[in-house]
Amino acid sequence: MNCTRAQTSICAARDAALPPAEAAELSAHLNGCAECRAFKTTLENGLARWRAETAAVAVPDAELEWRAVRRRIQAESQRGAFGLPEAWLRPLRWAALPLGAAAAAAVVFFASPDRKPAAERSADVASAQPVTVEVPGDASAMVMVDDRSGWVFVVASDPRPRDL
Amino acid sequence: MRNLLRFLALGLALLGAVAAHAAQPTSIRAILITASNDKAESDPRLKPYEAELQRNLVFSSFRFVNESSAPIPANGRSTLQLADGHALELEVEKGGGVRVRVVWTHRGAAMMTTSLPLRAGAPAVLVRRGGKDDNVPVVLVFAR
Ligand SMILES: [Zn+2]
Repeated sequence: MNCTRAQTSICAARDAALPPAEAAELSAHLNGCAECRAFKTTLENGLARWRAETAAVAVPDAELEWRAVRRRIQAESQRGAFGLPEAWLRPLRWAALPLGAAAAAAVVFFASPDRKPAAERSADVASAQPVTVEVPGDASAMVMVDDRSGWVFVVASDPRPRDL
Repeated sequence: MRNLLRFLALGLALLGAVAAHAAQPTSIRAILITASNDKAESDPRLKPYEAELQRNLVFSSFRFVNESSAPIPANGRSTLQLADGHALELEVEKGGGVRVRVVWTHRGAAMMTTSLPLRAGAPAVLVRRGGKDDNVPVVLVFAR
């Protein structure tokens, strides 16, 4: 398992328990990779805050939310979105996790996958386009834009039993 | 002043025309794949996509099921029928860039609804993970 896959798994594990083989691979990778361990910790902290803030938004209007997020991103451009350092944002590039509510809508914003210095990035973000996802029932969704290829990945997962 | 305004208006109209022309895809293509954690021979039909799928998703192997494509009619709406009861209802939203709304159903049941920008050469990859990670349906959506 490489770092990109490990970090994708870390995100997926936030929503639902991983299948045993994937969990084992991830834990093996985490044992040997300080960067992914740090990613996991920071993502957990950042997401707790993101969820608290998102839950406070009464009307999930994509356009309104986008404006609010954009302001926040611009304000935090030195720190990176969700307070994550720039280096950790790069592999996932605007990954975001929605709440696991019924018909949850994830709104994710991303810019074109080019490598620009951080100073130019807020301009990218300003022209970014949202990705929205709705999933039925208590499924959850994750959106990821691959920094290298520009491919957009939308992954919806049914809840899994926590202890398999 | 009037000349300046006229010049600006012309410039904007030209930009708009160029953007609209560059943005309008003529067709949408979708490939249905199943992903699983079994080790399997790679499928030659997935050769162009396998590296990116392997790099970004946590599955070991990908199997080509079928593909379908359709021209985008004037109203932007079209439906693609894929194998095994999978279908995509597509709506190409006009405006700046290509934006597609996809309603993915399986035998009439909702899999997911998503709205996303689609760039030439970079597909959207839709994945629906169920309780088990074998034969997970994956759909690649391309605008061209
Ligand atoms: Zn790592």
